[in-house]
Amino acid sequence: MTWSPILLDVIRAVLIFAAVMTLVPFLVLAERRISAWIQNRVGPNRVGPMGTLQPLADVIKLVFKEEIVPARADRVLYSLGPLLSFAPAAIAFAAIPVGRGLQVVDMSVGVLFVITATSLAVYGISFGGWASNNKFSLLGGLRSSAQIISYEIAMGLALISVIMTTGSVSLSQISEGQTSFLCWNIFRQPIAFVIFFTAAFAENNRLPFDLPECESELVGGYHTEYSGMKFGMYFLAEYVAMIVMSAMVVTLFLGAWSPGFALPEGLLGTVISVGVFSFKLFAVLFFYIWVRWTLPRFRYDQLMHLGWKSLVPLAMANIVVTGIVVTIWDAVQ
Amino acid sequence: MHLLNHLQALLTLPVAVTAPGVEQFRDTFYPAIIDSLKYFGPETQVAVAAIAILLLDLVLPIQFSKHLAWAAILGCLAPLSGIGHYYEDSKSLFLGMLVIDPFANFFKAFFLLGSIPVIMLSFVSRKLEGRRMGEYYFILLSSVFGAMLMASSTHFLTLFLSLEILSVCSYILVGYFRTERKGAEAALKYIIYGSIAAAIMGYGFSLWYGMTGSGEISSLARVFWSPEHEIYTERNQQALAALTVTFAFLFVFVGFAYKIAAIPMHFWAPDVYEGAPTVVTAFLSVISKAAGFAILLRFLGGLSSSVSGLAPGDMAVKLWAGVDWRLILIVISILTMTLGNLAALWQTNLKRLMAYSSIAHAGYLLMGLSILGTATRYTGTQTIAFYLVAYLSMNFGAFAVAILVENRLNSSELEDYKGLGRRAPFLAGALTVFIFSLIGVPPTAGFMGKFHLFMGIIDVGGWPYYLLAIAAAMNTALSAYYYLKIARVMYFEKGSSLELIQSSALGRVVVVGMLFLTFYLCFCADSILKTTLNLGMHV
Amino acid sequence: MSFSDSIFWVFATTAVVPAFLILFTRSIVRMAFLLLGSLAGFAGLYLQLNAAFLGFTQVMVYIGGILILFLFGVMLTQRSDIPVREKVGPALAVPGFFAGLLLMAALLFIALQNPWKTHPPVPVTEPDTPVIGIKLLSTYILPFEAVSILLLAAMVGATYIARVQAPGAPDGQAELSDSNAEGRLE
Repeated sequence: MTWSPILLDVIRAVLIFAAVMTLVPFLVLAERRISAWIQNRVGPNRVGPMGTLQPLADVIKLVFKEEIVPARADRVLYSLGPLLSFAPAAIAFAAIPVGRGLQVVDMSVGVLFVITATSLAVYGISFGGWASNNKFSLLGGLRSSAQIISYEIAMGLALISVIMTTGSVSLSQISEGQTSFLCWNIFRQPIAFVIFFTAAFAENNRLPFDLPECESELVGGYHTEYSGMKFGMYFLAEYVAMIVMSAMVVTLFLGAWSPGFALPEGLLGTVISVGVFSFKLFAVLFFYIWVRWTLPRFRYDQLMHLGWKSLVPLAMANIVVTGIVVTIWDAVQ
Repeated sequence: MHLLNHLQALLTLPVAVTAPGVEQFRDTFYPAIIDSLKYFGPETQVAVAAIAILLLDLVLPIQFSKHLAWAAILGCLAPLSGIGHYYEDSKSLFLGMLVIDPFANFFKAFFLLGSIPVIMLSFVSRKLEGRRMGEYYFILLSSVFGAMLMASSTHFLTLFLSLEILSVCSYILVGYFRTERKGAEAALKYIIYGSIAAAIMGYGFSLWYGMTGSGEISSLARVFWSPEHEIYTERNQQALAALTVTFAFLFVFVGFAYKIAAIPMHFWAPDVYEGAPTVVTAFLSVISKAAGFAILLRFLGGLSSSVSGLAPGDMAVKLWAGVDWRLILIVISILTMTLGNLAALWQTNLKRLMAYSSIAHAGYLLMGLSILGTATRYTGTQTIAFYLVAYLSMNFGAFAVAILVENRLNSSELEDYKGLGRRAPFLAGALTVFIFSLIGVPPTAGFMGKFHLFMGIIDVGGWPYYLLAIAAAMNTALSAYYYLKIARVMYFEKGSSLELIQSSALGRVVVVGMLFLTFYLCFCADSILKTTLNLGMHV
Repeated sequence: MSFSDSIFWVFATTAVVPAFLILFTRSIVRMAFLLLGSLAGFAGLYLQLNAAFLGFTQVMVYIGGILILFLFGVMLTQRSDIPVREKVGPALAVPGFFAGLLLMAALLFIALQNPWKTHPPVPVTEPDTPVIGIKLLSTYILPFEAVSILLLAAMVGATYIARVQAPGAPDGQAELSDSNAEGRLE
């Protein structure tokens, strides 16, 4: 029996999409449990064993909630907002290799694709914020677009220096270049790693950069007026985007699916590589959550200063230095 | 041992993926680019000077900021030596993007020298006093950079880009007094018209590219006027191609018309000229316009493949089914000058009046374009180059006076020029000379400029050219009315105040320089024309 | 119609129809949304032409950058008391309508009938990114560098025009201290 390539593609896409989607509820649960642990509380532990069914209960609650559209809201854009926020994040995962040779599409411009897709998430937020016809929502949307654009520049510049060292924009090639432990880009491009990771927090609107939705100032930010499944979509999108960003950090800097030494050929190696990738992914996600519950929030002008006056110049200097080193290295060899 | 292997792996950066073009890049492109840089010195110097001024302003205390003018003047003078050194060279640079030839060098020198009075006038302008001037001179020099690039671009990409550099810089300069309502309105209008013109021009380029498959300006000539081309042979394709080329030509022309303030893109001129700082108005009316004409000359030169020595009926001049592009230019020229002059009749603000006058002068200059490629005593390029120099002398002169008066009276309304003949005899006298020059009365530069334009047209002959000559003559008479109105206001009307108007020494230097140039160009016109005789274009 | 043809029509429709709809839209935010569709359609066309780098750059720069700034500006400035459009009298509207119609007819005629110079498809070597890089640094190096001057000038101009001003200070005269500027931002 032969598999048609399109069918294989579809199966891979469905598998990876399903895996990400299943991950989200447990990520939410993990977030709540870890936060409780950090704050010395108990956290949700009633529904199911150890509270494992809590996410399911949450989803059911969301589905059955009444959906409210505010008066004088722009109905079309109001409904499109959550979708626009969710779709790009979900698409982005297609280009990320989750294991050796395991990738929905191996794009020659994978890095560009993922960055592009994640940058589109801002539309959902700003359209949703504007269409709600609520000043808190609008402020949240505005803050979000300004923040994401600012940090995207730093992120892109950090990526350029990574691309300069790896010599490729394809995510699969970048992964394969990091098989050996010391070849991981975190060692070759430590500055780019710090910049990228910082910008990743800002892109995901995570604390300490969660200005678009900070509860103490803006009620709920851009999703103040949303309820029911539309709110659920925003929630989902946020976590999917977080997973995508973590996966990018792993792929670009932390050696992707490589455990640090050459894997055995064949199926066994592939399975191990998926395991390694997942382990790294969970570690980064844990870091995300850890940061959220330990650091205070930035003020808005501090956020902008950090982005424009520290990260962007630093990333540019890093590019110059990388360029010089690469040139000298090429000349020496 | 294992660790050593790892270390080695870390130190061995992966070899960059070798793309198919790398060898070619190393062997042919790289030397060509390095070679081109040698001829690109003047532009580089201007760009470096601009950025240096911007950086210098960071460390200068604010009271010294105005003295950045001297750095800017230096930035305009330094490149001249490079231009002089390679003046006679004729060479294609940067793999066909630019060209260096006497034509381009003439215009580059024109822009650089023409910017010096602008910088001096900025220095004396009272409205610009007490500000940080770093941004101002940076943007001014950047626009000069754009203009220089325009004069030598031979590819649509560089053409469009240089046009945009000049435009974007002009938008900022026009809105430089950002808190003034009129300035902001002017800048906004300028931007909107500019973007529309650029968009239409881009559409024209796309049609052009679709016809020829090449972005070089001369590509059309190469494709269409080679007899073996298939379009030549099939009758119905010929008509279609003619239609397409006409549209492409008109659309591209819109972009140029915007720069030179000719019909159909002249609407912005009055509001922008009035709302912009007066120095910037002077810059727009001379440098920006000259840059527009430089690129237009280059473009039409590329269109006819070789500019000189073509008879009017020559195939190379005709756009397909017998449409002569010169006829289009003649119509545009007549319309432009007539409209400019008619609208100027009712103006009561000097800057606004000068705006309409500048539209009219664009019309006169288009006369020179319409004789492009015909066998006359002086070629079209030559007469335009000469007229532009003459226009520089009289227009900068007039604006210099306007700035010096504005420094005291804070107004450019004609109402306030009453009695200027007594209050500032020198300025009033100088302005009168410039006015006469603008009308075209001997013995001034304007007379010589117009004289040669008329001679050129009459030399060519044929009823369209006679018609053009008649229209131009009538327009000159028409323009005398409103120009002389300025003189009447200054000398024959009593103002409310008799207080003398002081003017700064540097401002007077500019006025005297322009006066000198105005007379010099008249008496030594022949020698100047001879030096511009060989403005060869490298196509 | 083959599969790739139908894909082409999908992208082409996405590119053109929203652009057309913008003419009939009153809300600027909705216009931005339609523009999003149009730009995405063009990006899709690039992708279909095997120009992945170009397509994603188009999305990243235009959709992910410029359009967001549009929206940002619109959201910051939009007020309900500004009259959005003025009625144009029939003296202008009727000739304008026919002139536009004529122009459109002529351009359509040209687009459909003209013998465009086409050349056979160039086989794309994967990956296309180095090819673009080499082109940018060889044939197009001058435009590539000149753009940087253009962008620098535009950036300086934009910061100049948007610079925060101390209240009551004459235009451009007072330089703000950092703490003041922060105070204004909040």
